[in-house]
Amino acid sequence: MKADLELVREVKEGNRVAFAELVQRHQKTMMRVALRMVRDWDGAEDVVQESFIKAYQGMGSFAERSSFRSWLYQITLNTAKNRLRSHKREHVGLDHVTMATSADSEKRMIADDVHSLLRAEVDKLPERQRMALSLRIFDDLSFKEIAHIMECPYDTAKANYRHALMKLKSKMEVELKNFNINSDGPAMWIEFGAQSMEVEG
Amino acid sequence: MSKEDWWIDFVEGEMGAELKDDMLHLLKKSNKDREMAASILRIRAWLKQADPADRWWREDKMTQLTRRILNEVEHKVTDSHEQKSSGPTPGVSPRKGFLEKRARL
Repeated sequence: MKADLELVREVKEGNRVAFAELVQRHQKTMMRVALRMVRDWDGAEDVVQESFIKAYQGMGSFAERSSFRSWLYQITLNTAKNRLRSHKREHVGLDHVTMATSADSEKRMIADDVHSLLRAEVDKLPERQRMALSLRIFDDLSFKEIAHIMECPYDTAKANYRHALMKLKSKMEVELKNFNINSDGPAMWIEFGAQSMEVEG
Repeated sequence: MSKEDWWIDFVEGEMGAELKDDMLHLLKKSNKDREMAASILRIRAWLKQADPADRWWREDKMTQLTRRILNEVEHKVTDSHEQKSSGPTPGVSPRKGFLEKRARL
């Protein structure tokens, strides 16, 4: 399988099949990035299509100092932001919670409620914190890559992430009291290198 | 940096080897530190499960999206050639779109 930068060089030489390969490789990731921001499929499709076209048209000026993926992330995030501004849409707050129809699904209902609450709290985060959190948690990007995409220093990317995580943690600890979820849950094994520690979770 | 910040760095794998051993020692000895590490892991796990993208995801529409993007690229390239061209070149037939080639792959 050819590396992204090899495909980029082929695209620069006019090879559109190489570009099709890049689209296939990255479209799902970019679609998920766009969905998290615009919160509807059709809007996200428009964002992703526009982003790939911008990438294609701007390929000549892509200096290859970063990965193609980072560059595409930047384009997609900026395109999504522009769309939100022009459509004057706010992030959707609380999701609708589906009611359980049987007592057996109580645990699932609680989980759904927790997830709905979390999504609502994530929406309230300042944009930079939400972005750093999203790129780390959902896309598993390194802080180095996050810093590049967000065009900020490495420590700033980490700080944004930490602040976001701590805010959510504090908020959820307060909210979860309403669900009577305590810390006496099943043990959670965490492996740190060669050692394993049992942690109540 | 607060103690929670240290634990976030530890959970995220951002800690140097020398500090990591100290943190492992704390995990063994301190209930409070264990709970702090656990709560960070817990919120991370919940966040992953609560990805907003999952709510709107349509796997069945992805092929359509690919076609849309590649069609649009084809139009952009065709428009660009038409702008540059001053008329038909004798003996040269228009290049077949790469979509057909892609469809055969």
